[in-house]
Amino acid sequence: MLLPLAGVLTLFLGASAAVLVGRWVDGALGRAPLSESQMVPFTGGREPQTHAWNRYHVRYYTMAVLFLAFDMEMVFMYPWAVVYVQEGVTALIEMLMFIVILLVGVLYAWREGALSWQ
Amino acid sequence: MGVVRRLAAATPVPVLVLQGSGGGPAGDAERLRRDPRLDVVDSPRHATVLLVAGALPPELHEPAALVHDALPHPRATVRWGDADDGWGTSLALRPTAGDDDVAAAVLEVHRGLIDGTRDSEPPLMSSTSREPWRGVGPFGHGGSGMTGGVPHGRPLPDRADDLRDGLKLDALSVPVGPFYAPFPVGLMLDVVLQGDLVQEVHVHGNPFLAVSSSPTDVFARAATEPVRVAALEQARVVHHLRAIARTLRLLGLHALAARMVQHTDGPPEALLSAGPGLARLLRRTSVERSLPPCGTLADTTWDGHGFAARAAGSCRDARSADPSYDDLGFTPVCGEGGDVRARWRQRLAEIDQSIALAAAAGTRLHEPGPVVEDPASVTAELLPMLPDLLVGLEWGDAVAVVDSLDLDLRRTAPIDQVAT
Repeated sequence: MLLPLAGVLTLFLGASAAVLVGRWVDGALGRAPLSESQMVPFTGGREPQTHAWNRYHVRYYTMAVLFLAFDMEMVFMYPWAVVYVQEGVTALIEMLMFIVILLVGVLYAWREGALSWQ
Repeated sequence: MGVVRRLAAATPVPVLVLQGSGGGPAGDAERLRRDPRLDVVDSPRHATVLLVAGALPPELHEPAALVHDALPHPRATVRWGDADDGWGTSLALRPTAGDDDVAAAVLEVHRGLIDGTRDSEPPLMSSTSREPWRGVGPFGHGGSGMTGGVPHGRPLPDRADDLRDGLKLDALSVPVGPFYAPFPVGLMLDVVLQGDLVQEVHVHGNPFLAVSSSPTDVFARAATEPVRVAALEQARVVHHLRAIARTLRLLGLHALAARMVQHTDGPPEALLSAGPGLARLLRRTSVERSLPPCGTLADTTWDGHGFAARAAGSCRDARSADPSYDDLGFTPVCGEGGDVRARWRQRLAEIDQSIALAAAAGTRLHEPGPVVEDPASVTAELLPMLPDLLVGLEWGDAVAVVDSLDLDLRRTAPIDQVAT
């Protein structure tokens, strides 16, 4: 019963030792602490006036949503590939109908400008 | 020296060049890119040696010190050419005269850093944070805003309407330059960005106006002394090839860029025989299509002259009225469009034209006179136009526009040009 506990304890001690060794090696390399100029982003030699943490519009989100939707629909292809052997042409026609419906969706998204960058 | 240090000392030295004013070899540090012993980098983060070429005007002293302090340890500085500007006097600088082999000096300093015989330089500015990041609570936590407190004395960006759809998000103020690698040295912009879109641009004054420096190249000399017409046209080809190499580096095409400047320091015959092939090669590649079709200088609204004006459809060229070009079959190359791509095409056309003129001119001398066609754009005219050109562009396109305009702020005493 104590065996699993001993295993966990060994793992814990091993991981802790690895962290300590890592910290010691890092300290032994003797890196100088970074100065103010080394920490700020370099934009040509002048100091940034505002902090770089800002919120901006992720303009590719419509493309990302489209990609996710179609990526998930590909998942349906896997079971379809299995039953295709049994069902034959019927399965093929059903899948074609499915793809055509998706295609209409893509055309609609295209018309709405979802695929343009701006 | 151990094996690792020996290997480190044998690699090309990563060097960051700060170009100051003045002529001579130190006024043209761009040539160092072709020295295999050096690796000219664009950011202090990648450099070991800082090379200050020429004198720094007073306004650039603090930015240069900040760039110096941004270099990681171990670091050293080499002054090249005129070093009487008072910058970096507290450092144990390695001075080199203008005509010295500066690459050898950089190598020597680098080797000293690697084998431990030379100490890394201390910072020139205060190395402590201007202001600690503390909130209002007893443990530095809490307060108003997203983070609580003001991070290192820098407030978070203000919110502003986006130019595209009015969505109110954070407008980031970024000071760019004077040593931002894709821009000409000395160009200082205060840019407000919404994401990657340029929302506002404020252009600072030219820091090189504070130093009296007149150009010493062949175009300046042509105003006062007789020079060969062929030499003028060769210098024009070199100027355009260098500008093309700069654009190619911006696009990440470093090998092609190196090919463009392969013959620029060699004998004129090699340059003139290679020039048409290079222009043909560039026309075959898709580089022009990689450039953004923006940054349009309209000929109708701008009464300018120079290379950028000709790309916008103006046919003004000082050579039209220059008697030295009589009988050479000179007619100005008039482009159309006036955008970044038009300026690219204009360069290629002017390279072809200059090579033909150099071949036709033979040993003919250019009569000294105040009217000489400068291959660069007229910087003083274009600087105030930058905000109109850049606002509304994405940052990458804005950089391409600035690059295509061929600004040179160090040319504070431009050659006189007249409308022809």
